[in-house]
Amino acid sequence: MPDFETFFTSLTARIGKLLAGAAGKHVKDAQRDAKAFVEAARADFERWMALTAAGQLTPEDVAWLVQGKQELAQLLALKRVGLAEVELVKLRQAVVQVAVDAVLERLAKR
Amino acid sequence: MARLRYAVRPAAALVVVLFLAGCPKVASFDPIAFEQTKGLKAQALALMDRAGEPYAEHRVDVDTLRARLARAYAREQGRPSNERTLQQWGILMAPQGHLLAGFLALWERRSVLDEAFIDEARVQVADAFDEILGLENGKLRGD
Repeated sequence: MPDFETFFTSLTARIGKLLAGAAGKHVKDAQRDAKAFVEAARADFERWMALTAAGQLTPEDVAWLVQGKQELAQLLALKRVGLAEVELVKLRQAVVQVAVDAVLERLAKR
Repeated sequence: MARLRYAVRPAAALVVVLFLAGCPKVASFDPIAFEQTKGLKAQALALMDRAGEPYAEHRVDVDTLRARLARAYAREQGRPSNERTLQQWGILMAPQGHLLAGFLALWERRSVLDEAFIDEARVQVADAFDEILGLENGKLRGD
């Protein structure tokens, strides 16, 4: 029975490491994307204000572009959700693989 | 204590099973869709560059692009578990929206658009295509 305990402890540790690694990577990627988007949007808004002041863009043009920026944010969010779903599927495959490897390893030791 | 351990183990197994069963299904990477999207991006941006000229002079080109976009969308619809990509295309192609289809509709209404506006809208449409390409590129590859 202690052998069984060791097996489960080792399996839990391996799966825990997998989950933590995948979650950490996804959160970091999402934060990096969001930060880049906000920085680019700020630069765009400033440029649009300057172009409006110079008479090259109308307030209607700017309103249209701002709405476009909001739609772009939706596209970014959809990409992140889609990629998170892909990560989840990869994680499922990895968890199954770890479990199978652990069982095979244990059987080989017998 | 031992009894508790034996009670916890099936519960943990159940959690893992539920986690595995609850995983979403996702479409696999499609190299044809990826290349098609890159081609559409190039065609769309080239056409937007001409929006400083009267729409009537480019009506045929716009119709051709719209037809290609519709075909690409229909192709995406035929792929299983492809909801996120479809939603992205839906936003890009909404005529009442403010990305590609919205730009084409605005050009049609105003006949001619200002250069500064074209330049700014063009950057956003390029970014929109990049988000679609980014999702496609991140999908699972068949081994």
